[in-house]
Amino acid sequence: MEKLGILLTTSTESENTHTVVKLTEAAINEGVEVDIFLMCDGVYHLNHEELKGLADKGARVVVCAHNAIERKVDKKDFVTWGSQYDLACMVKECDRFLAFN
Amino acid sequence: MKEVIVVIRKSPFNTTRNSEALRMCVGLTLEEDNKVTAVLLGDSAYLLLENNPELVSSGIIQKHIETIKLLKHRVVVEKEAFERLDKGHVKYKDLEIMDQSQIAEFISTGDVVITY
Repeated sequence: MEKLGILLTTSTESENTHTVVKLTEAAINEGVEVDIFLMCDGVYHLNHEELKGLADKGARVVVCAHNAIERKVDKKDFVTWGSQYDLACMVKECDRFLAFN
Repeated sequence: MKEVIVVIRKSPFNTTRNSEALRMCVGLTLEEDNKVTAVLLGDSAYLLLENNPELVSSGIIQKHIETIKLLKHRVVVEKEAFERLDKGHVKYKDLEIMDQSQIAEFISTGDVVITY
């Protein structure tokens, strides 16, 4: 199965959120495995319903715990509480990687 | 081996994101199959000067750049931007300098390109 990696560093008011949601849904519908890494202000998506929906549909969501703790964002069940090492592995393992900054 | 290129474009005086981009570069080296290059374009070249990021509540800069170089990964700076710097205050030696067309060609060879 092909794998798509996505980095999202902007907060929920950016147009990037809509793009990532729709892109991920389309990829999952095409049978592509999707990994999403949230860092910087992207960690605010832990409180975003549509992103939780992506996890429910099968996307793996990993958050930079360092950035989340800095921003006092609480851990959620649908995400992996990760580190930059998770991003390094994601970059290595994916077939395509897209950054939304 | 994956050629991972992180392009940093903004002035460090206006954002703390440059520090985060450099932290990410260091993190990307943790997977040994990733060959990481930080490319400094435009005003991000000011990252190479002596600086005190803590004075503007920004994160670490110098330690990240030194770590990238220490781990034998690369820091490349745009020639046109580097020429605008006061060389007497440039903190690092043995910098890789490329002009804009060389950088454009180099970026096209990357397996993963992350712009910041």
